[in-house]
Amino acid sequence: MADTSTARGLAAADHDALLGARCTACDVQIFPAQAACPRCGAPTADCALPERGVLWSWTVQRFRPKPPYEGPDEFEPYVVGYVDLGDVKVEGRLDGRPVDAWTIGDPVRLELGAPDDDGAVWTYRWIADDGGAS
Amino acid sequence: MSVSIIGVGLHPFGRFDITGREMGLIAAREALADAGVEWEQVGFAAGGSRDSGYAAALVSELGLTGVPFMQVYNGCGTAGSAVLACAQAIESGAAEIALAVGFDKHARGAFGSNPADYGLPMWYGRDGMMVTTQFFALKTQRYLHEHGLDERLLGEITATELHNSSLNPNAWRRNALSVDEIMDAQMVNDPLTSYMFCSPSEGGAAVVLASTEVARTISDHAVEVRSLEFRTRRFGTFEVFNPWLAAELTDSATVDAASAAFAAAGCRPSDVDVAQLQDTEAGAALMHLAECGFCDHGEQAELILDGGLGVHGRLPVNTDGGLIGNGEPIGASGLRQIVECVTQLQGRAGERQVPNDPEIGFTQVYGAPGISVCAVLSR
Ligand SMILES: [Zn+2]
Repeated sequence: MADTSTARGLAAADHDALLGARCTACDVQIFPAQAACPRCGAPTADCALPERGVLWSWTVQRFRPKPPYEGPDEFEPYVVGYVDLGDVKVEGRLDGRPVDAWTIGDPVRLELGAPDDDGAVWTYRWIADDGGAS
Repeated sequence: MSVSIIGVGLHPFGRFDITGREMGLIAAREALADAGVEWEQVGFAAGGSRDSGYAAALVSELGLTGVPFMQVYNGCGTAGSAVLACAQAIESGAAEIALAVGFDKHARGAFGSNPADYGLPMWYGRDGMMVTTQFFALKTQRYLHEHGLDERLLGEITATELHNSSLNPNAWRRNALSVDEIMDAQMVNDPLTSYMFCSPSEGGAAVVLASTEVARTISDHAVEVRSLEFRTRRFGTFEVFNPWLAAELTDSATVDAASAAFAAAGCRPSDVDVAQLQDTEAGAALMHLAECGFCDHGEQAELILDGGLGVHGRLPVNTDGGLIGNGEPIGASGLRQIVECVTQLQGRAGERQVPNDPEIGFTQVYGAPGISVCAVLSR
């Protein structure tokens, strides 16, 4: 299976949104982008995903995962959640609040990590969205 | 189905000094002895392990009889697939007597996983999202929220299972704990504490099956396999290792397998006297009560509170302690459930025996990546 996201990173070309895909036949939206629709097998077309959504579920990762996890040597618990973007729910790490201060339904916005030497982005965070300018 | 279980065998679950393969051999020999049949009479065999080698290699110690032995490597569905293969061999007339065996011995700690093996990008693992316990917690957290359920139900389920395993000499966890002790234990992935998870462990389990006609002539304690259904996920289910979920979620493979199993058996969830459900963690058990049809979604409290899932409760569940009390040797886990159900229906479960001669048993496996095997058994 061709993994297009591996070559391109996970951000859309203009680097302000995650790169997803939408099925050209059944309209299902997926993340990360892949060439074939997992529902019906038809080709997909790339699309930028919404940058704002609401928290759909969350948990705290309180122990250090086994490799390939590459966190800092000094492990700090972190929050993982699914964010509802309307046509798809995207998993991701949450940031900007104490780990146990999250509630389902909280509004969040996307923050992409810094690009690598080849210009590809490999990390993103969902940040608590207090309604101000992003 | 016109298939019956005529013998069961189990190597205790936990941590031991022998190999997984040896545990499988012990379980297989015990099942044959319980059935009162010789290995030479077995016309078909199936089995597997995830980490302990080839089940079919057991023939070098059981006896090189030339029996067709189907090797199964199917994750959490290994044991269920083995039983299904045996049952179908018997129904087709290819064999009169068959043996299903599963065993395993895993390293300690949560299973580590390589994203590439699942067709996932490396960043998913590098950034710390490729963790099975995280998935269970995210699914449970959403379920509690959506159905307005109290986290304490997770502690109640765990306490019931650990009480059952404290009464089971074959179980790993032999210390009963209070709901408070479970709720106050170290948080692993919110809302799940350390006691609410099963751990990888070791063990072996086996059953001998025969056509119901043959079973009548050679066994006085046969248990009928009324139905056995295996399903995989459809589009839109919530499974482990998913960077995304569909906008509209779909019922899990458990819902499909359980409803098919009840339909094929011609009975209803309310007819069940004893059930063994997949409890990789307490949230899974909570969800599976509804997915199997024992209650509506969100109505679990009525079943669970006041000891409802206990051996003397309204619906005795995981009477041997389940995965929480026994750990999960992947290849053996589904067979352990069947062994326990058969033992209960035969009235041989000792201190943890369900009272009033239970007649109908139910087993449910759920595992990665979105598979389920459900069975209805009856005396
Ligand atoms: Zn499609």
